[in-house]
Amino acid sequence: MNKTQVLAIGSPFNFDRIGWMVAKAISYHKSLPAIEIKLLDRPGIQLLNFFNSSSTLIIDAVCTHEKFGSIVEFPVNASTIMTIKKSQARIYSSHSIGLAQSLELALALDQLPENVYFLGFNINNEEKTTVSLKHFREFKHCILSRLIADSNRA
Amino acid sequence: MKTKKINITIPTLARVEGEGSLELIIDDNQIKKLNLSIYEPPRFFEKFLEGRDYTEVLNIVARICGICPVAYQMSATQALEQALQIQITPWIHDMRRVFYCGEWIQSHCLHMHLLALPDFFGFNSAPEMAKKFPKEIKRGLALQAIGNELVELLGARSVHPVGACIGGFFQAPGDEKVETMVKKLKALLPEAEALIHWTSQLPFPDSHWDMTYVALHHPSEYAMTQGDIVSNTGLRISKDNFQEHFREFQVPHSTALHSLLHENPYMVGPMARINLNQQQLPEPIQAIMTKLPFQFPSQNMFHCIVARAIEVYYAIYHAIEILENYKLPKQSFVAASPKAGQGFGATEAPRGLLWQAYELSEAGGIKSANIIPPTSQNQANIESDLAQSLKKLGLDASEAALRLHSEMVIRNYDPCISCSTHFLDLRVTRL
Repeated sequence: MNKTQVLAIGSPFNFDRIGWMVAKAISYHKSLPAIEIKLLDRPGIQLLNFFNSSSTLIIDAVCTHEKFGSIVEFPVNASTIMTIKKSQARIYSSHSIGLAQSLELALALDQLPENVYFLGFNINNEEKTTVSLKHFREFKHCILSRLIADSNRA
Repeated sequence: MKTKKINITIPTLARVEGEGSLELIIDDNQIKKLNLSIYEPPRFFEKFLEGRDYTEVLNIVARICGICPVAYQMSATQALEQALQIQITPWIHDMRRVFYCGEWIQSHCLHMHLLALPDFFGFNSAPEMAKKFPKEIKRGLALQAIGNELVELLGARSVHPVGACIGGFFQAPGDEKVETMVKKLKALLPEAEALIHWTSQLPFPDSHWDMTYVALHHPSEYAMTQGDIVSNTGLRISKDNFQEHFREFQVPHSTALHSLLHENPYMVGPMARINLNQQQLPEPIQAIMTKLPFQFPSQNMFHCIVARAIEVYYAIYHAIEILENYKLPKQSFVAASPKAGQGFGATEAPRGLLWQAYELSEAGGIKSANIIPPTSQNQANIESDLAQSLKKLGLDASEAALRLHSEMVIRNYDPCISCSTHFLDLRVTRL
């Protein structure tokens, strides 16, 4: 069976590692369907080389105008990729090649998995110094719900 | 005859790490103003380093750039080892070259495939180009990936690596990992050769003129981690004497310092290296180069992309050469102890010569630091190159053509304020 792939993007720094933390937390869930979790350290355009399942969930920290701890989620397709690109006020990545640009390239090369879903944790508040347990659980719950829904569909 | 005045302002160089713009005023077919402005606030890395222990320097300087952290680490370690009077072993010398090869491969491939190549085919972006050239873009990504893996082999991670230390590396990679790496590198060597031939066939704009090239030179190796500083105008100096010949200064339109060699602009980077050091390349690579439709040394800046492709091939070839004979060392670093001193470091970052100087206290604290990256050295030359290139193109060309050509010239240097890019919010005013 094609395992759902969870690609947790992040870095060891501050809130940027939230995707890694939550991915590690869900890996302990015994009731989950078969999944493959990968923690990726700022993969940039190399994200494409990690796609190896028709069903992929990408999790990451995001900066939007919404409040800290809110969750951004959408299916990844040509339309949503364009929306992210247009909404990017500033790209915080090397050579300004961020997630949207990497996904756009995957789409152009026909390397985007059949089902890709994105779940982002909003870290857009510099006043915050910690992620509350409540926010962390909500994010984890969203990811688990998504994985269970994927598994039921399969 | 009516005077034609064109004022082109490109207020934001987008898809860049840093922040810059281009202002161009053409009046009656003459360039009246041409400023590559870097308005990014100073980052104060040299000040951050003051008072820190010498052991902290590599982790701090790696954060200057996400693409070329190895270069910052290698110039720093060379300078600090000189100050601390450490002699490294041949194993450490070789592994530093492998580490650097990884960075050259990943940085060059990123720049070529995602930033520079779309210009040559008239595409606006890499994804647009990928639809027409999927095989070539996939090849570029595979090559870039092996570069990242090489950095990771010695640096523990590919972005802001943490494996290097003053005196060597914290840990030596195991035999098995090295064997696997050699197999992967060998598999990609033909791909790298194909990349050279492909880029050499690009439609290059005619853009020849005399330029001053500066790079490291070493008598027995293609200079990467050590050597004298040389130029095509006869300069040959020790890295210790850099400041006697090069002058850094501030210009009103840029927060980054400009640099001149004997009061003249100069170019650093892959083309400077190939032009000055092609005799140091291994014979099989020189043989490939003889089959190209043009020869180095070249005075056409647009051949820079081919120079990058040659260096990608060299980096893979050279990493194989070293790693095939890999032996696990007893010690992966030479122990250091703090002492007062001064040291200078010069290595070849993907974008060119990266010079650093440090002064240490008795306790090993940083008393002063000076870092001169390749992009600031290239700035004056980018401006003079732009002026020449635009004249060659014809100043009566359409504004769109002038803009596109300006962007292409800037991108060609892969500036890391920055890393060459497409521009946003272009405003053109005809007066």
